[in-house]
Amino acid sequence: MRRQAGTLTSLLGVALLGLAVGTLLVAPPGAVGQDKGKVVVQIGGGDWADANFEAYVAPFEKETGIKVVAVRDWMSIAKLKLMVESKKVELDVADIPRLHYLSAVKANYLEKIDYGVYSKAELSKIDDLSKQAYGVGAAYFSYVMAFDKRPTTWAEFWDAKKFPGPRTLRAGVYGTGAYEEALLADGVPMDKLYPMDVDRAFKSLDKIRPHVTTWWKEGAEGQQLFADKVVTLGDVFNGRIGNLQKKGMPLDIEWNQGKLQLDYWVIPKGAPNPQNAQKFIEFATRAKRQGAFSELIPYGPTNVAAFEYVKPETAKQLPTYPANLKKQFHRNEDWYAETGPGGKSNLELIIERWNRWTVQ
Amino acid sequence: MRALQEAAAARWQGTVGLLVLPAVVFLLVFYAFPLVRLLLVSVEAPRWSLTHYADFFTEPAYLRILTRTFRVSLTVTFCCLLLGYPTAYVLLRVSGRRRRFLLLLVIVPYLTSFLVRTYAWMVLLGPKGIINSLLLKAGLIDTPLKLLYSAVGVHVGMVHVLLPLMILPLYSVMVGIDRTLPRAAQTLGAGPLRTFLRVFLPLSLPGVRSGCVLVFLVALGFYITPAMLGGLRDSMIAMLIESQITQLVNWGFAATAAVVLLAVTLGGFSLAGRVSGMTLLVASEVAGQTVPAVTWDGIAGSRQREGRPWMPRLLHLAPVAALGRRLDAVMSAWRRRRWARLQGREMRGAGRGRAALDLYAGAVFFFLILPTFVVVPISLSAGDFLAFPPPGWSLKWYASYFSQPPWLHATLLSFQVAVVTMLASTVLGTLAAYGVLRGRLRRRTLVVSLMISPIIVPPIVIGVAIYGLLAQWNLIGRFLGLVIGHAIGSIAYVMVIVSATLAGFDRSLERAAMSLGAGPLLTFRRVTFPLIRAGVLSGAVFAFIHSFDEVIITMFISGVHVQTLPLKMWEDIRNQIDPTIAAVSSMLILLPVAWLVVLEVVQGLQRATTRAAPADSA
Repeated sequence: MRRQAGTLTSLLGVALLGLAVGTLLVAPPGAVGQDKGKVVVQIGGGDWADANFEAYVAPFEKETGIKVVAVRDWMSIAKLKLMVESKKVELDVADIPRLHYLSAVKANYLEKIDYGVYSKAELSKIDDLSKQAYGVGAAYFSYVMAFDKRPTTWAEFWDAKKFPGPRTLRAGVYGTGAYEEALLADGVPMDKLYPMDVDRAFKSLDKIRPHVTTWWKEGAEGQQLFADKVVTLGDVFNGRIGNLQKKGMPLDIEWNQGKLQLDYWVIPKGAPNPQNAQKFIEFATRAKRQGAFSELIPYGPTNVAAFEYVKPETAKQLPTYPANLKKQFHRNEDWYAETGPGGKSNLELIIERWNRWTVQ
Repeated sequence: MRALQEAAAARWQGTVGLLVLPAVVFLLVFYAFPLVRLLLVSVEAPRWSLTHYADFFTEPAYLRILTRTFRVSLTVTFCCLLLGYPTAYVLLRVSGRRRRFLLLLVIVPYLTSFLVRTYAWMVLLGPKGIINSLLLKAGLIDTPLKLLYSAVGVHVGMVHVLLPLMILPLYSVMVGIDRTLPRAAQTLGAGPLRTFLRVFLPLSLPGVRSGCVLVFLVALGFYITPAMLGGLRDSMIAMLIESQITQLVNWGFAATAAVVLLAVTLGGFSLAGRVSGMTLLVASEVAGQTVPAVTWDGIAGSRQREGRPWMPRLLHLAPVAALGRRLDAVMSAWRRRRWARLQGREMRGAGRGRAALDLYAGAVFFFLILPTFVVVPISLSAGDFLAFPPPGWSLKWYASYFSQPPWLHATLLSFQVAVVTMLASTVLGTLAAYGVLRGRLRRRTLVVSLMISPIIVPPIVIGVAIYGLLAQWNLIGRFLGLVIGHAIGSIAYVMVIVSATLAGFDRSLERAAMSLGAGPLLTFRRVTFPLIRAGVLSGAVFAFIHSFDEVIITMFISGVHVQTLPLKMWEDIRNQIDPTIAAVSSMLILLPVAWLVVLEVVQGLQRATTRAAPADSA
């Protein structure tokens, strides 16, 4: 009996040992080599990531033979800082909003874009705001009102009596919050938003706070809240709602007073495969590719020639479609990047303010 | 001759004491040293400045978070006690198979990934979740209750996650109470309530204290549950630490907040006294072996066992209690006479109370076990989004899991890391436990504290602390880095469980073997190890589970490419709550069940072995 148990234990031991040795032999996934045939691209999350994958990653691999390691996660200014300053850059390409782009440039976290790899024809079609020294525009997208019953202005959105229902608004953790929306709701006209009256914005947020079920952090979360019918009103990225509409959800968006912004493809300083990164970004800003991207998720191309590859009914859903563009305003990222007397940028100050406000 | 033998024995004990070295060195380098460095970062050494502390303690928002953290932890502890005490009491009264089964109902949720459990509460509590749907359908409410994204959600989720940590130590202590004492009280005329209040309750207080301290300290460091279930206001200090790093890259301030949290936790740990002994009890109970509290206290080095529990002493100070005692004296004479008369009839009244108690405990068991299983029907939904009841049935979310390489890679990686962590920490932890209990060791209490404290030190503190060190050694996002991060906690679990087993067996067996001429190694191999095998295996299971579930430390040290399963789940829960998570969760529920079967089989063999042993030697 005893011997039997002993045998069992040793068998178990041998099995575990085998498992461990096997484990050690399998290369840990994700160990990045200096392999020139590879590029590591961060593609975001949710539908945005799916669209990036289908429109850019897969066709790029097919055309160039360069292996793309797609990382489904978001880049934040903090992660970028952590990576670049500790000299542990494992990424070649990421997309960041203009809001963070400006700080990243100021802090010297990015590699210069090599416009030499572009064809003249493509380059001439990319709009000016998108052609920056350290980043190329990836897509325009907009914070818009989404709902199952239509308010048309943020003032109406703030009116919980006329438009009852649980709401969601963007959380301010990354510096982007519903501040402009709050000011608009309080009667500030669209062309007088900046320089932003932060006190007034938070006072206005105080009013809507009891009606906000939860504050979303990542784009997919806002989308999910509508999909699960947890909220019936919110400020969400237009493309996320567009994709819910495609799935047959009875939802609508309002372009009026939409907050337009731009994401850039960037290369973190010290990226392991910078040349492939340049190639990837060039590929991802071609008109045809951006057209394919807009078909997958209704975000506006930065290469205006992309409209030629987009179906007319899709074009009408894009934030940069002329009729829509007219109703919206551009978020003024330059204001966020401005540094006050204390040495902190408005972006940093507004994050701190948000953190204090949340626990009130 | 005798002196010579003793000298040899002493030398031998000294050598055995050295067995703690590998674990101690590992923990000094990868745990104690980073914590010290964290302290230095917080005071901006070598510039030495307390600005971060000034910032922390003068900013009302941070103080509010700190007090909220305390308040939530206290409330959760109190709720756990309220739910846990009667449940542990009922556990004590049933016996045999039923007790084993009910214990399983406590242990299975304890071993289930807390991400899964918290996710289950999101499904249950949401405005369109199961609870609100049922209440709406029953016409009890008109609009959904705000359960999710609120303080209610945070409390319910935390109580659910922490309740096993209350029940297990309570039960361990209650099992050790001499059953004849309450009976004696009754024969002396005390009614059932009085017997309970004056005899059973005071005797069970060490368990109450252990459970409360453990739950409270672990609650202080909670991050995932409040982040998932809470609203804006429900921030706890761990979330503050995380946001300071991921949003503002403010390491100095994050280190300061981490040091504050660490100080509070360790302060509580030392104030509450022998936490080590108590944790041991918890773990040993899970391993299916009851070790009386006294055994451990006797060996752990702190021998100042209190004569009486502290709570009744406090009660005695109260004048009300004094008055009550005088009244009692009058009443008990009468009751003594009554007791004899009521002997026969007593059963019925007690029966009613007993039924109520059983019902209460039943509800608690239901609360413990069921929420986790709601993820199963969700995972079988045919719809694209979370909905209850599901619009139809399908296996597509399982297909979705198996067809997505990121999920499969993450699962494989988690298994690999967990297996290597388990092997390494089982060896280190077992050696250390043997060294601590059998060797002669200076500063034993310090060594034991070093090894066991990772169980209560908040993972966010460990994560922030070891990030810097691992980054320096180029171990961020490396397999080895993950193993190191996970082994810190795993060693603690192995150490605790193996010690409990070692303390629980008859040492004269070892001495007998030695006296018959077996050398130390032979004795260990043929006598000690077979006897503690079940404990070692339980320890290994805990080490595996700790590593397999770890998310917070991993979050800091995993870098960009490496994604373990819990990390992938955590990111998906924040990004896209599609039912793939439910499918993964459903599969993860099976894991502790599988482990328990393994343990059961091994322990069965062990029992068979020990029973067969006498026959063998005969």
